[in-house]
Amino acid sequence: MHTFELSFAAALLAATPLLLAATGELFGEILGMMNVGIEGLMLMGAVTGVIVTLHTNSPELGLLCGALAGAAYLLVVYGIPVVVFMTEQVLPGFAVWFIGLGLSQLLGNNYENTSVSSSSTVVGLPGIDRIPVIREMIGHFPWPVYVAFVLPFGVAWLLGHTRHGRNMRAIGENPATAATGAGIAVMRWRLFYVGVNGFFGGFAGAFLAVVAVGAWGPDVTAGRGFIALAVVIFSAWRARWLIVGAAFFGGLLILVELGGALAWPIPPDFLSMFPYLGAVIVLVIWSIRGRRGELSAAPTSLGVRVMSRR
Amino acid sequence: MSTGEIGEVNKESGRPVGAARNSADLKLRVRGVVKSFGSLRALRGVDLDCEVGQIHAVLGENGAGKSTLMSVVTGLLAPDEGEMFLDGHEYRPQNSQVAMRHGVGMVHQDFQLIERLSVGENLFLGWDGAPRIATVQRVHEAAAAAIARFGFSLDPATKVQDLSVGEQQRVAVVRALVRGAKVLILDEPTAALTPQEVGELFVVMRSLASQGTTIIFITHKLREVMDIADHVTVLRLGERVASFPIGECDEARLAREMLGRDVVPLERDSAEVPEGSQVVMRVESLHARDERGLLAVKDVSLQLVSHEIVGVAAIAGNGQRELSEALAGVRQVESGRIEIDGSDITSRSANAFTASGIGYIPEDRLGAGMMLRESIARNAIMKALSVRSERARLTRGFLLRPREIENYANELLAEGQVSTRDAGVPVGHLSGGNIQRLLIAREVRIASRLLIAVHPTLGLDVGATERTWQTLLDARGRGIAILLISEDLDEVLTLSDRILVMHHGEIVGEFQNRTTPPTREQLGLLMGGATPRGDSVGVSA
Ligand SMILES: Nc1ncnc2c1ncn2[C@@H]1O[C@H](COP(=O)(O)OP(=O)(O)OP(=O)(O)O)[C@@H](O)[C@H]1O
Ligand SMILES: [Mg+2]
Repeated sequence: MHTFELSFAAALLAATPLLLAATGELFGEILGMMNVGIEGLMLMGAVTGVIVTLHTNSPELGLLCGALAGAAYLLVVYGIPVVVFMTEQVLPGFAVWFIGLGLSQLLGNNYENTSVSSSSTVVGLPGIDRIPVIREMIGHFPWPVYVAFVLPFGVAWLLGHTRHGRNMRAIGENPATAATGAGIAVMRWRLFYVGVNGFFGGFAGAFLAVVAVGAWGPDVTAGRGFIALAVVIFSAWRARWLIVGAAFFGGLLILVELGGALAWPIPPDFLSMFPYLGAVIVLVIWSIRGRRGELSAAPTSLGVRVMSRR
Repeated sequence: MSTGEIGEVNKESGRPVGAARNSADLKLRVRGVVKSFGSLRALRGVDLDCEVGQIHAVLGENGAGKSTLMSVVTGLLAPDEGEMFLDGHEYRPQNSQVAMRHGVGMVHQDFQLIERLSVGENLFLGWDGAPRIATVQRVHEAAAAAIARFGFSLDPATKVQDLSVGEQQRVAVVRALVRGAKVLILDEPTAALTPQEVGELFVVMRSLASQGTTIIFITHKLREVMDIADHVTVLRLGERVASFPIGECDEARLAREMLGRDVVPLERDSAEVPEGSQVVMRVESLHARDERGLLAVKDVSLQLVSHEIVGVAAIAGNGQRELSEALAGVRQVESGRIEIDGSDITSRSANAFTASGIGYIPEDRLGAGMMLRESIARNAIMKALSVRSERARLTRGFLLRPREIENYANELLAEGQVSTRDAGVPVGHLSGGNIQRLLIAREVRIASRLLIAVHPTLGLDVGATERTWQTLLDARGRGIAILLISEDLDEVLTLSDRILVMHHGEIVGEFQNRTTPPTREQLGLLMGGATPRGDSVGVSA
């Protein structure tokens, strides 16, 4: 009973951390900075979130501290080398992943499998209880879910309708020219948005552990950081399309549970491969389209090492 | 070094001899600025005094240090020594934002625009005065108003990458004006403009100056200095060698100060195109589209003959860039036929064009012509590797031969008289004019049949222009066919044996320049599309 409604709700819940992390990554990529280590970033947010929640009994505080820890972590491990010392971007990205993997395990050692409660974060949409089916689908969620799904609209507005957003895009197109020609303080902007990226990535991890799973474990992210990266590419750097991408991958992520519940004759291990398979397929299709020149939305300087000191 | 006249600079005090200036009416005062790049001393203690509302020309050869000095003034480079004063107060901009806030704005030699954004977006980028919240449409409306206010005509919604070099430069000029700079630095602003546009720009400069804006105007064109400047400062090899009011000098004197020698007249061989010249390239009803997909070259047919320079005169954006690209093999042809030495190469690769002996000096030399981050040596051999004879020299089997490559690069540096002898440095470290010299040397070397030269002397100083013209005439003497595309009518009239006029992608006139030379007015009218094609002199197939 209610299988559709419940799986829809589960998919949204699964999509939320993807969406938050992808939104953070989009901020970075719009300014030309690709962070391949979202996975490690989410782990740092997750472990911080759980520890703080366990000590304070406040999931809100846990989520906030997870987000702030993510911002600080990304600034140190990625922002300083890439923005201040102008290194290339891939190795720092890997460092974000590896250091996050190790450090989060170390910090979370004593907290493994201790469950946290986050029921206080659940809110109901006003008036929703009177609408039958929709009520089950979207009526009662932890507030970060609503935030995650509204956020991309805000980002789209920021990028498309404001001076600030246009300056961001200019930096992503050509940082040197944005600095000398347009007089934008490129280094400061890039550092700021590394922080923003870290904030949302950390928030995504904290949400996943504190709210969606309800416990810390070193495998809590299980590759979601990489899926978030695929979501950004899937969206072709258009903020609102992040929602579509995240929902698609969120759907794939719950296939295992759905298959179990409905007793599908497909082995669960096979089903759990789907999101990653999906990511690979998306990347292949998109790279073919990109080569044909159909997608020109990627910021021109994405992943490119910045050489000018301004 | 010293002139012994009014322009003399007193080495000890660093102040002009004579006129005891009160520092208060000086808008900008630069004192003893030194800037070195490694062992190269680009500026060796330069002074500059600009008064309020003055148009101050800064003149100097390629590599004299003009752009470096301006980078110091706009905070892009920190000087090693020296000080600056703005309105009598000490002025030390840490970066270009600080300079802009002090009202010092700049139009760079390479424009510094973001290609994939529209004209309107570029005008307002990074500017505090731009509306905080605005849709692209509103930005474009505001931009259209600003563009009109300064008397330019540009479509604010067009992407910068789809503009010609001349149009891009206008965007950069308007951007600086929009920000209301009190000191406006124009680094070779007229290089890519048509004579008419230069006239318009000068009107704008005059009116800005009369409203109290100080304009620093960098140029190589002596005539422009005489036309527009109030005062001129001449740099040579990083030193100020002269500085005087415009009333006290003439073109010959300026040239002498700048070059440290007199200008040599051009040597040309027989005026006639010799008998027995062969057809090198034959083009039949060529059509090609521009980046926007619009038909930019319409039904162009022409023949290029050895020992002949064919000049194409056209206003920016009339299809001459697309034509040059199609003939150089770097632009897809819509329909029509291109033959070289009788064989059809219409649909062959750009490498095949190079291999058949076509050299190409493109309009966009920094983007299409050179890889700025790569060394001079790498840039030097970039195209030579497609030419069989050069490849035999530069490679052994799969392997490059580094010694030969270095020798080859050094030969080009010497032929082009580029101001560095180190082929290992990135091309981006050369001054604009020196990049151009290297590019010309490289293309002339591989052009064994045909040289397509688009604005070949854009950004070159008088000495280098003269040498480039001589290089083209020498190439003609060796039997190479030359297609010269330029907005500089003096250049077209001086060099061409035959002149074609393009308007809206079509050839609208043809003149035998040696027998019946057109007047500038005739050319200007045709370029503007004023007269129908029947009126031109000597139209032939
Ligand atoms: N970043 C840099 N690194 C090394 N050398 C440089 C750098 N910038 C400029 N130079 C050198 O300093 C000298 C002065 O260059 P500058 O660009 O100021 O010349 P310019 O007078 O503007 O010439 P042009 O008319 O050709 O633009 C040149 O020899 C140039 O190669
Ligand atoms: Mg220069």
